[in-house]
Amino acid sequence: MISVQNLSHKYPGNSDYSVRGISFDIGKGEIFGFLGPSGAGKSTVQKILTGLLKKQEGHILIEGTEIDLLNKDFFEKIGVSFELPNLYEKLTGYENLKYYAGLFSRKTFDPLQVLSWVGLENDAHKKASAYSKGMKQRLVFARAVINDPELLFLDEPISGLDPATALSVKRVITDFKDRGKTIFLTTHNMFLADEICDNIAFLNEGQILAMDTPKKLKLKYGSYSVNVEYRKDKKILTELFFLDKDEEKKRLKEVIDGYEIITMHSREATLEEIFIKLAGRGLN
Amino acid sequence: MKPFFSQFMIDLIVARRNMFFIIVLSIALLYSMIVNFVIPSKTESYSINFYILDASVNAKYKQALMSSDYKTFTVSSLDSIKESMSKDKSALGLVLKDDGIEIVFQGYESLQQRNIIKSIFSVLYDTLNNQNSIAAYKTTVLKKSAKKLPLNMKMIPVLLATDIIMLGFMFVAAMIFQEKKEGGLYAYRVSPCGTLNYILSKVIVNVMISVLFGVVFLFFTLGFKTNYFYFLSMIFLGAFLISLLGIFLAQFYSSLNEFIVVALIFNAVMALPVVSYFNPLIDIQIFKIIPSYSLIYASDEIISSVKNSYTLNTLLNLFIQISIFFPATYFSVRKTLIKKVIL
Ligand SMILES: Nc1ncnc2c1ncn2[C@@H]1O[C@H](COP(=O)(O)OP(=O)(O)OP(=O)(O)O)[C@@H](O)[C@H]1O
Ligand SMILES: [Mg+2]
Repeated sequence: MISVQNLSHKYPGNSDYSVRGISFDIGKGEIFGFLGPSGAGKSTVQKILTGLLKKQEGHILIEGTEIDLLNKDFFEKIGVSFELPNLYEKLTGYENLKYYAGLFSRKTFDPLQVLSWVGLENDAHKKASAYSKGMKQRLVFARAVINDPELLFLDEPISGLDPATALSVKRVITDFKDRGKTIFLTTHNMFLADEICDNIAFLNEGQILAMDTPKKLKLKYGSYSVNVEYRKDKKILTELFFLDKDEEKKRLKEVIDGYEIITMHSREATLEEIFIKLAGRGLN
Repeated sequence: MKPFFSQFMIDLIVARRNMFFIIVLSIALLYSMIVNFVIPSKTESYSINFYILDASVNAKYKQALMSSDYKTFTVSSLDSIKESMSKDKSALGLVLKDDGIEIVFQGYESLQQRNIIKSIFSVLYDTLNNQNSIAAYKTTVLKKSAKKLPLNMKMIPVLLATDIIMLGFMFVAAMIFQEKKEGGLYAYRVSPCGTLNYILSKVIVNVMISVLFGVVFLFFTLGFKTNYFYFLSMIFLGAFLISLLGIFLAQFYSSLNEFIVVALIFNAVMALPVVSYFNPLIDIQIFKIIPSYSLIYASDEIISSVKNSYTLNTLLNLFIQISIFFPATYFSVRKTLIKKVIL
C-alpha cells in the first residue's frame, strides 16, 4: 500500500535533518506504528505522507504512484488526524463533521454516528471552542474517519485521553482495520503500539532503529531479560539485564554472587525497555 | 457543487458567528442616519465676513453690499477693521470711498483668492458707476447636464465605496487568518476540495456581506429612486475584486498582527481618491487607477442618473481586472496556502 525508500527531510533553517534516510513498507489492511520519543520525526513523516510537507529526498509510492503525482483521488480516500486540535472553533462539533464530510464526493458517515463512536454525541451541538482539549482531540479523530477512508493517518490518536475514551478510540481504529483499512499511526505510547499495531518502527532522531511485529521485536531483543531485585548496602535496588549481551550476563552473575537477591523474574521486556536498549533513551 | 457548498457553509457560518453581518448592517444603518440627518444638503460655500468702514459720501456701495449675500458688519474706523479681522481669520475688510474700494486682506490669502475678490469688487464698482463692464463677460458652463448632488448625497458614493473596499478587505483577511490560526486550513488541505473552492467560497461570502451593506445603505438613503441593477453589479464586481486582493495579500502573512501594516497602507491608499472627489481641482492622474476612485465616481454617476457611460466603463474594467487577478490569486494560493505551509 505504502512504500517508502530513503526518505529524508530537513526543515528550512534547521542545520540537522529531522528525518534521515528511512525506509519502510506498509501492507494493505495493516496497522503500522511509528514509536518514538518527542522530536523523533514521527509527525514530520506523517506530514510528508499526507502531502502537507513537500517531500525532499527519497521515494514514496502509494499504491504504486509517486506521492508527487497524487491528485484529488488520493485525498478522497485518506483520513488524517492531527496531533494538535485544528477545528473551526466557531462551528459546533456536528457542523465541523457535517461540512467536512461535504468536501468529499465519496459516501461519508453520518456525523452523529461518528460522534457517538468517540463519546461526543451529547456535545454534538456545542461549539468546538467550548470543548475540552480531549474532546477536541476526539473530534479531530472523528473528522479523520468521517469519509470512511481507505488509508488513515493518526498522529498521537490517544495521547492525553482518559482510559475510557482512549478505549473507544482504539476500538474505532481496530474496527477500521477489521474492515480492511490501512492505518499509519504515530505514538510514544508503547502500550498502544504493542496492543494494536501489526508492525512497529522504532524511530529515534529521524532514524529507524528497528522494525518488526511487536512480538518479534520482543523475541529478538527482549526475551532474555531478567529483572532482579536485590539488597545492596541496606538499600533495595532493581535492575534489568538483557541476557543476550555478554557484558550484562556478567553483571547479573556479579549481582547474584555478591548481593542478597529478593526477587528475580525472567520476563518479556516491554517495548520501551527495548527502545531504551536500542536508543539509549526512553520514550518520554 | 457539494464540496463548494460545504466550504461555503463553513465560511458563511464562521462569518455570521464572527458578527460580520451584524457589523455591516449596523454600519449601513449608522451611515444612512448620518446621510439623512447629520450632513446638511448644502454647505455655506462662500461665507466671508466683511467688515466695512464707510468713508464715502454716497452710500451706494454700502447699500449694494448690504443687499448682497455677503455677511457685512459696519465699523467706525480702520483700527476696528483690523481688530475685528484679527479675531475673525476668515474675514476681510473694506474701506468704501467715493473714488473706489480699498480691500484689506489678512495676508495669507493666495494670489488667486485675492484676484477673485478684487474682480468681484471691480465688477461691483463698474456696475454701480454704470460702466457696464459686465457686458464684456459672457459665461458658458460646461457639463450643463451634470446634476450637482447635494452634499449629503455626495457622501453616499464615498461611504459606499470605502466601506465595501476597506471592510471587505479586512473581513476576508480576518477569515484567512482565523483559519490559519485555528488550523482548519490544514484539515482542508488533506481534503479533496481544492484551491478553486477555497477561494470562491470566501469571495462569495464576502460579496454577500458587501451586497447586504450596499442594499441597506442605498435603500435607506436613496429609496427606490436609483438604479439598483447598476449598483448591485458594481458592488458585486467591486467586492469580488477586493476579496481576491485581500486573499492574495493575506496568504503571505501568518497572522493578523503582521498583516495589520499592510491593511493600514491599503486603506490609506484607498482613501486618496476621496480628496479628488471633493475637490475636483486636485485632479491627480494616478488616483484614477485606485479601485476606490472608479467606485466613487461610478456611484456618483448612478445617483445623478444623467448618464451611464462611466458606470458601464467601470463595470467592464472591474470585470477585466477580476479576469486578470483571479488566475494570479488561484496559482499563488495553490502554491503558498494550499501546498506549502509549515504547521
Ligand atoms: N516546522 C518546523 N520547523 C523546523 N523544525 C521543525 C518543525 N517541525 C518539526 N521540526 C523539528 O523536526 C524534528 C522532528 O519533529 P516532529 O514534530 O516530527 O517530531 P515528533 O516525533 O512528532 O515529536 P512529538 O512526539 O513531540 O510530536 C524536531 O527536532 C523538531 O524540532
Ligand atoms: Mg509529533
